[in-house]
Amino acid sequence: MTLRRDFVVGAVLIALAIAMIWGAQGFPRIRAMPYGPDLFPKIIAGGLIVSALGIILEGIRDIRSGRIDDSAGRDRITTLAALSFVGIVALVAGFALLLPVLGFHVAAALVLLCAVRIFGGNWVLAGIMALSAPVVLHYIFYSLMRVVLPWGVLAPYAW
Amino acid sequence: MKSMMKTALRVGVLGAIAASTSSAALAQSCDWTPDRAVTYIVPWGAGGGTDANSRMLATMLEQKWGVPFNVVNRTGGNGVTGHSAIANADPDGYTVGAVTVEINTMHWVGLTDLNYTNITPIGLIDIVPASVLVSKDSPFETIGDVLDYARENPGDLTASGTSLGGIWHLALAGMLNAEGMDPESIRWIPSQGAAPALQELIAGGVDMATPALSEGKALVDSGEVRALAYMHDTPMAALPDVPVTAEALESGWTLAAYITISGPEGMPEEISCAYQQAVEEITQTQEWAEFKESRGAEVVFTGGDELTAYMQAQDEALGETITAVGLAE
Amino acid sequence: MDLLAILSIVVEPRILGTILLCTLYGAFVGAMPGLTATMAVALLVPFTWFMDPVQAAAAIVATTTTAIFAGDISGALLKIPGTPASAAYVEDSFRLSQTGKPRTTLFTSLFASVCGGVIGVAILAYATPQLAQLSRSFSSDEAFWLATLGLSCAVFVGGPSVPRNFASLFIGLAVATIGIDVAVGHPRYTFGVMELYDGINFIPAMIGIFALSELLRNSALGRQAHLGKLVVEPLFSAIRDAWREFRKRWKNVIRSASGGTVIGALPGAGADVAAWIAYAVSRRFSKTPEAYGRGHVEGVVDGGAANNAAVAGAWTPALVFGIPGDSVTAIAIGVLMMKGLTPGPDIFTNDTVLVYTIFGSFFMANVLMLLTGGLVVALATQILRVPRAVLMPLILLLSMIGGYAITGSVIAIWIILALGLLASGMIWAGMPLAPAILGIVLGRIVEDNFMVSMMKSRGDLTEFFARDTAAVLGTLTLLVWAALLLRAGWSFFGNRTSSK
Repeated sequence: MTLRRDFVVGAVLIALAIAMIWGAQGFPRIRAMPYGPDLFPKIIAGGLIVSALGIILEGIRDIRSGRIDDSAGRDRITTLAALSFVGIVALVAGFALLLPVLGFHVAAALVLLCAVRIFGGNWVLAGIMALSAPVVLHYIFYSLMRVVLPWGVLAPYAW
Repeated sequence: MKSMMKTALRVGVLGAIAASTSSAALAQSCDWTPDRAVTYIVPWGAGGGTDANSRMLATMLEQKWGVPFNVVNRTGGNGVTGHSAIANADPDGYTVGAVTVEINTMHWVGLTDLNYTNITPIGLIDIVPASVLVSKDSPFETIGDVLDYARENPGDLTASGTSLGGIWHLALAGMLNAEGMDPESIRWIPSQGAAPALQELIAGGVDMATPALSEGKALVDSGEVRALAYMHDTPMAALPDVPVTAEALESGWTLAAYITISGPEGMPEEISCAYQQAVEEITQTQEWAEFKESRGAEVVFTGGDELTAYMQAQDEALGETITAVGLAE
Repeated sequence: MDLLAILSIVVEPRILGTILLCTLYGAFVGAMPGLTATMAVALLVPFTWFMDPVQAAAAIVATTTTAIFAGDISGALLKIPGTPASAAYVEDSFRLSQTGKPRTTLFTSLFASVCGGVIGVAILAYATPQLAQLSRSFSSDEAFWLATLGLSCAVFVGGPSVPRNFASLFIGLAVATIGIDVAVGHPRYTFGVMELYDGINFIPAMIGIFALSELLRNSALGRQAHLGKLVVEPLFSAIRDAWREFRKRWKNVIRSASGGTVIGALPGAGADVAAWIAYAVSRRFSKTPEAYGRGHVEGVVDGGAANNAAVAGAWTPALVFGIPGDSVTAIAIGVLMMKGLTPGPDIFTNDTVLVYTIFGSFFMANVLMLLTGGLVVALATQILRVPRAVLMPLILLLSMIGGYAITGSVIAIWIILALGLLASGMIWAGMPLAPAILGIVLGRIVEDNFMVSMMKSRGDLTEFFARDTAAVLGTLTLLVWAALLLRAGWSFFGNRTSSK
């Protein structure tokens, strides 16, 4: 990690701001007025750029004052931790994709099975959780609170 | 509750659109009933008129058929999200929804390709005319005053009630157009629904508002705002002293929004007619009549082919208006 | 209307029973992620048909009051704010409960909420006509200034780095621009996804920013990192400590509760804005502002008192004009109208009993909330005893169901994921999260009102000062912002010269 964190953050924010301005190009105008839906995105993008420059300035100031970048050490993460991170992200994305197809019970059971493993539980615990929790949560949200959770493949057995 | 249902009085149907559905067509097997929970999609948020009507109907259907009717508010995209969800669901009778007048407007303004042929209409349960409201301090006494002033000072007056191109905006622009005026001669100030628009009206931010009559009723009753007219052809019991535009205006312009219960495209006849019978019976109960009266609305019901024809006519009329006022895509 | 007569109605077994049941129901719903006060009230409506008007109003009032408080419970225990109103101080309450004081924190918050609620009712009962007069003059000009003033809270809720605070605020504002714009109805940054047209929903956004980012951080700690079990203190010592904590800060409670009631009564600002402003004001006047956002109970007290007071305040426009201040009061108006009661100035003369019973129910609901809220806190804190391998997966699943419950579709889960990743990035970048949430909450209000005002005045900026209330609010807002920017610039560049 040779790049200072401040510079990376500043660059990302400026890139985001440019993307916002670029995206706002095609917005229509209000009739007979010099601005429209593009006004606020452009003001916000401007604010992002100023803030980003401020963050970069802070970084330069820290270098000049000889303060060490403490981010490098803190960000050293193990492969296992990185895998867990990616695992959770994949679980959320997977749940979003599978929920309408498989239905709540199956999708929730799969999520729990994997999540318990990621957070360090053993297979037995994962199995118990996957079988029991979806039923309880389904009762609370679907039967009591009338939240329409999809049935998916279990539709023939729906109640 | 059950006993109340049994002894429910069958009240005569009020209003212009009577429940004269061709019951001969219903004579075939209409004995389908749901045996598990039904999802009732509402394309608008909790607290609004569509939500209130649909939740009331859902509860009464639930009592009738003994399975849960779960209301889900699928808001977004000025109604497109919810309407698409209704249209695209399985037509197995386990998903129904509140299709509203926007099914006749949103495809004209280019929001979506979805139109009334993509759903199966079951029954019309509510008709709400647009109102013409001014603040209690307003110099205008009649709708004629407003139009005369706007004719002489185009662009001076402002009005609000919903988003740009929303149904209550069409009510105003369509009225101005029908009266031979520039639809822009009263400027439209968009708002997120009726409540902020009425707040603007009271605070003096806009000169007039044209929201749903039911939304403005409480303020009219309290004297904070005055109703100059409402865009209907027959007077309603809720506001007997306020003129209807059909009489007050030369053009006879009217505009009323409607709420239906509808199913997805291609719903089998036996399911839709079972629903239609059930809903029609519900609209004839005392309980429903009381609910309607509390909202200043009238009991209406139209079902089946008659409703399809009504939606088709509305679609053409609104399309003409949208094109005339320059909002068509 | 004398007090005794009201009390005799409210303590009638039927009404008291209704209130008790509804506080339990509200506490349960509020403590569940994704189940909001609005949803709780909407589900209550069919039951109100069998009730008389007084009972129906009491039921709605009791449910809302406790649901708003109970939002603190999932916020403190799981870092999932139950309602947007709890978001302002979720960082503090969560950290406090992580350091072994979950019950003390929640009981302090309960005492503050109850007290805030009672003060709110008292103000409501005595000052509704005056508050109504104030809210009567609120057009888009005033609402714009109020929201812009609210944005200045970002400086107080953030961290030590000024540019990072502003970057966080602007990120939140950028998120708020997603969706159809108010002026011409053009979809912005939606990439053709219809369900984004109404903008990013607050609840999934908060779940993503707070809960998912926390889960991701936890998972990144890795399995090898030894995660000690969390401590839950004994019930009675917790109540005692909480009471002591609360008694020390009664001045905060009075300040935040009265402010919260007024903000709640204003159109366009609800319990969430009230909590943010109370939190920021509290930090501004605190002797230990540096402790805020790191687990400081003072902010929890102020925010908790303000949002429950605002719940009472929101009834002002509803009762006086029939204009709903939020979706809960919108449903409440519908229910009252079904009972043949039309909200409006006349309701104070025609249905005096009802109006004061609503106030009385508010009062009773707050008192009974001590009992039911306390019960739910005592039970809910047990979940912290659950091993992390069980708790974390459950939080993950609950977060996603909670989001789904709000939108009725998986779009909420995608929002949770996107904002969870965004928040993780921000944490890595050393940015505070609170200003971003503030930006998401207020961004739309600021822009919509600005655009509406501009359309009314046809682009004439001086119109923002043309009305009396607007001129006062506008001048105040500009002064506050000028002072903040000057101070920020001065400290930024002043620091640089000193460090050279």
